Amino acid sequence: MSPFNLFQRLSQAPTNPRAEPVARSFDVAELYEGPVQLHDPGDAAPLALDEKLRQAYFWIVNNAIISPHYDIEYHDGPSASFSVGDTRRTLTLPSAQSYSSYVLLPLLTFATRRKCLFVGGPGRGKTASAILMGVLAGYPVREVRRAMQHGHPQMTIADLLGNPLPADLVAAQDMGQIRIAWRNWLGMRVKIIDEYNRIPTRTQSALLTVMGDNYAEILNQVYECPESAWYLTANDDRGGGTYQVIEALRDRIDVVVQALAFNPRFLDEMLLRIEQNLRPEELVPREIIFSEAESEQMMAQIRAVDVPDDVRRRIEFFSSQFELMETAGAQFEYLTKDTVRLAGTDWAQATAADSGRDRMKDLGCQTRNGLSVRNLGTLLVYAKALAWFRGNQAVVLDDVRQVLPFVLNDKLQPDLDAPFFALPENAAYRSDRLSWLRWLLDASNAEYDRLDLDRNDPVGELSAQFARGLDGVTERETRARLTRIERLVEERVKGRKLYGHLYDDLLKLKYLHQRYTNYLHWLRAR
Amino acid sequence: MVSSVLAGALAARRSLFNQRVAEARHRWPGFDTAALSAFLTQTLDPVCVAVADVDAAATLAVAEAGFDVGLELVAQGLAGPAARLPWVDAAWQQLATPAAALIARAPLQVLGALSNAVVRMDSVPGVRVPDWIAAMQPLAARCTSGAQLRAAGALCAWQAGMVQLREAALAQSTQLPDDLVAEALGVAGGQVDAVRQQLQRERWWNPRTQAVEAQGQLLGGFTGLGGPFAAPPELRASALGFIARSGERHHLLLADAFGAVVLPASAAEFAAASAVPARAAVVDAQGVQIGARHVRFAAPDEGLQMMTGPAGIAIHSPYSHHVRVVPEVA
Repeated sequence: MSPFNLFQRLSQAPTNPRAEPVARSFDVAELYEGPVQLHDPGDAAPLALDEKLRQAYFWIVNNAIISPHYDIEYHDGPSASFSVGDTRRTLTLPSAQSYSSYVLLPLLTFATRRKCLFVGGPGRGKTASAILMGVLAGYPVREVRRAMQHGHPQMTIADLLGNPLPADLVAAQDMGQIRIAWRNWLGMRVKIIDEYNRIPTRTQSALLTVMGDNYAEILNQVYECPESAWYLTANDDRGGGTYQVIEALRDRIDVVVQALAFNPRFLDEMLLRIEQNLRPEELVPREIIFSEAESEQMMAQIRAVDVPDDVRRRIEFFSSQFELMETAGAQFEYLTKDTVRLAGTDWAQATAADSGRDRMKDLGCQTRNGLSVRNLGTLLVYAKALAWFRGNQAVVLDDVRQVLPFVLNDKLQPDLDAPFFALPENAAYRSDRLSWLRWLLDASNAEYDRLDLDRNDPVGELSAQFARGLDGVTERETRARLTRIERLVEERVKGRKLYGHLYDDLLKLKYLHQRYTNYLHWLRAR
Repeated sequence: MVSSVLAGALAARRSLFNQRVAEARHRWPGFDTAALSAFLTQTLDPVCVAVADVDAAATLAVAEAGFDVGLELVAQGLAGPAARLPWVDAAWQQLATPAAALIARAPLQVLGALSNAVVRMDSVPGVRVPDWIAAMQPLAARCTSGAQLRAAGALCAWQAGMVQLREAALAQSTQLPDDLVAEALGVAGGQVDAVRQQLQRERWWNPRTQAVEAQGQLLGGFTGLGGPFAAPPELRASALGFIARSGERHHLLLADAFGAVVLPASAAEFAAASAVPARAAVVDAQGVQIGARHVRFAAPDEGLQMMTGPAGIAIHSPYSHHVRVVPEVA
């Protein structure tokens, strides 16, 4: 084999070296490792899957995507930063390995088999990136292209899913006899829907079944799809498509990544590709192709990544900021934005009545909704995937901070009429949702630190005490715990102001109180 | 002008070579074709001529492999007249004739190994690449396989300053004929086993001088002047050598009779290492007195420290970015 392979060169492992204690052993083979490749890469021992995914990442940013933007920043010690322009925006030169969201998030979607939406203007490489993901799954480029579904206003359910066989339609005596010619793409591990916001509403509903429940149905015939990664593209995800995307379909999308502008400084590379008729998707090295078994292993390894308690608590604290709306209901459990939404109450009227709190300080006043269970599940999966991708066995807060904006991009809706957005220094957050979401997490963490919740969290202590179980807990002890809960509630409500995290703490205390009350009844009935 | 040997090979594979150059120009838009041409004339040509003398039938394969390897190295600035380092061309030119038979048998493996070895050695500060090439000249002619050449190369690399290869090279030398090892170590043929054992026991003993290097090795230096330490290092001893902490970085210092290297280490290795002061040493105006031996170390008396460990004694100072590692007994 020639040692020279155009576009086939992978970054040398380890792609994310770290100083870990290792048993030192020096080998003479080290002397003969260098620029000349002496062995067939196929002869090498198989790489760890996280290393393989990192190699795939680096191959894409170094060879396939011409102009990557390193917007997922990690720091290892001080990083140089500069204030730029009249607005004094910060340009940071990260001191640790940082990543391009446009490549990394789709790859994490591939690893976790989730759903990723590429948004951005026409001609920015959204479809090409989606095709690359299909090729990474081991499908030939031609097959990936043919399996890609192109949204258009006349797209029918049959176009999307398949057709009943004409002969069966004529001869069948009941529905069960009608066989369906299912579309091939339904069986693939990577599914691509190009310009999904051009699909008619009725066909979107059929797509929702496949995306949400992983099966397709025509004339009572069901096709069970394999677990797969989804890539959807849209030129404009905020209503600019031919059809309004149904909310349930939008909610099924796990992450949204934006194709950023091309930097003309890279025009020479584009020229080279034009002149040589090079297409990166046709040059993907076989070393970074993932088999089905490897995909399964990746998913298992990602699930096994630990989310430490301190990180989990900060996610809890963050997510508790947004659902509360004190004026929304009369009963304590219904003081939520969801109550307002379901009732169809005028939003402006509802927010105008909410006058008791500091609307600048309360993060919940910046959004029109709270976080769903699905959003939180997705956040945890992507945080684990990012930690795993970086070679770690546990999630750190920075992993959460980096994936959160992409997960909540079109899930947490800003209330642009909130006083926060009226401040001149926050004007940029009206359009830059990613930065706003990251700012929200930072502000939430600052508040968490101010309240010293890592060390002083009585609700957490009560929860942990309850989680140890009720076996052997005496009546006396149960009464003592109930008293402690009541005292804590009394103490917490003294301040009179109700904030999101306090609301969730009080609901948790009510839950614990109810569980102990039921247990006390049971003890007394024995 | 190239020899008729290489000219014939280039003509026979003209389209293949042209395609390779075209590919290289695509991958490296600034690819220097003139440098490749010079490399072919000055470096690959002597190799092909040497191979033709031992096995004319292998010339075409050698030319093809040499062309591919040369293309890669020239493109990376590692070979040719504009190369960042002269060693690849020097190794090919000086070792082609002695290693011609091996090159004829496995051109890519041998030329690749020689090239990688000199590039690797150049990347380790303090390693003497010209010494390695000179030491390999007589040995290459006596090696009968690529494996022997690589084992002999490792022995020579260790003696040229790649201290980390000491144990691995000595272990691999048992697979080499005694006369080859004797020549590599500069001793008489009958002494190989005894010499090998002594080298395994005493890292500061030099078989060529049959003596211990009493002054040891000076290593380190300030990063601003190309050294590894941003601040005067703090030292601890480990089983292999010494672990240094300088600023936020950690390093493993290895030294023996043939040289010294500074390799990356971790904070955990530093934490696990021991800090045992050398009690037998006395500081004086020009350095340190260890027993009857005076060791030079250019630093003020104040704060001068000596750390002892299995690898010897390390002398360092809060006013110096250098470290001197010496044998405990000389």
